[in-house]
Amino acid sequence: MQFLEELKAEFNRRVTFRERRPHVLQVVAPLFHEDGDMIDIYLDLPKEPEPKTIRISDHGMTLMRLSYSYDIDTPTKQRIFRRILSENEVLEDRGRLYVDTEPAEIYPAILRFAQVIAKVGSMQAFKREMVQSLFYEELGEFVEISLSAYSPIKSYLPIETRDDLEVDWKLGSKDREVFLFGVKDNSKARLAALACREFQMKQVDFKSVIVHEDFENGLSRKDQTRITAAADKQFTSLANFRENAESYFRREGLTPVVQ
Amino acid sequence: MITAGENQAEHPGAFSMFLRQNEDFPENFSIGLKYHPNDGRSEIILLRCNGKHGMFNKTGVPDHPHFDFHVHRATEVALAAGLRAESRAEKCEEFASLEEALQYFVVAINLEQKDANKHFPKSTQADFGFMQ
Repeated sequence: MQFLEELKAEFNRRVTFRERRPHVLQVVAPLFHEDGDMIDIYLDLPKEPEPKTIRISDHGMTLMRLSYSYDIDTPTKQRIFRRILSENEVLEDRGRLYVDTEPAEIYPAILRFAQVIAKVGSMQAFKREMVQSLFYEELGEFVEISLSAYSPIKSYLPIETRDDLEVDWKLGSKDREVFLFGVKDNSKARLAALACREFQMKQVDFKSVIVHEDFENGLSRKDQTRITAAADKQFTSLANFRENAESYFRREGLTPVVQ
Repeated sequence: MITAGENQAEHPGAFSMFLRQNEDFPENFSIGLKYHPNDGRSEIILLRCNGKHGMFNKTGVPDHPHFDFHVHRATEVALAAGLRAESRAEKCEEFASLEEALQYFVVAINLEQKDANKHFPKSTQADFGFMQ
């Protein structure tokens, strides 16, 4: 096929092709993951001798390789994964990443595809802070959109002179106030526990709700105990909160404002 | 593995097994043993039995084990060098399929025979029923 010869020339002859299956060629090119393993790239060739489009695919190898050390098993990680693909116009079908390209554009398409595979393959290196920061973003999104009927107020100060005791969101009205805290680590757990204790001592009339990113594995045993002693209600994960928030607020007598 | 309600600090650490096979290229599989420490350190793969995935490595060594059935084992040298613990690979002639690799694996990790028979029965021999 003529385009394969042209592709070899564009790679300066530093590429070979191995037939992995009938009409499936593995591209053996100097394109590597960070750890030195070669990136798996295949060309799925239609039967006609001079095809109009060619599929560049990984045949599922990228996610299989990634799964050794990292699972895309949370909505946050899924979002990061989908964002990488969509920003680079790479598609996914049942775990197989691919792009369809014209023969004339195959060289830049392979290079771009290799970059995306390398990015996905390196997802495990994403800083924990980046993944955790999406927890607050997602919690905020849920509170401000799905719980908007409870008039959420962000960064609320129940005691005006104490700006160190900030509540992430206040919901409800004067006669029934809920102070909601998002907690992703020990440091935030301690702040939330301290704030709740101070409000109780000052006899502020409120109910405290804690939404954890991961109660079981995100907090030390002592911080689990501290926050449990201080808070009125805890949701052990964002998913748990999303599922049960409305029914909880109804039981607590919060009245949604009809808009 | 740690179950819900257990605190990681009270658990001595755990092992888990994984098994993966590429649907498009079934000869490309991996069966492995992971260790999960309870002291905050990352989990490590102790053993990985792999099929032929035919990748070159950076040095372009043509007879690299990846072109054959091979085994990765964790080594202190690799850990000390900051590499994946199980980065070292050796060709293995004791299996030539996922099913055979599974039997090799259960022996290599010293799984008790009754557990191996229960969870990973040998599929390379037919069961004629009258053998009970």
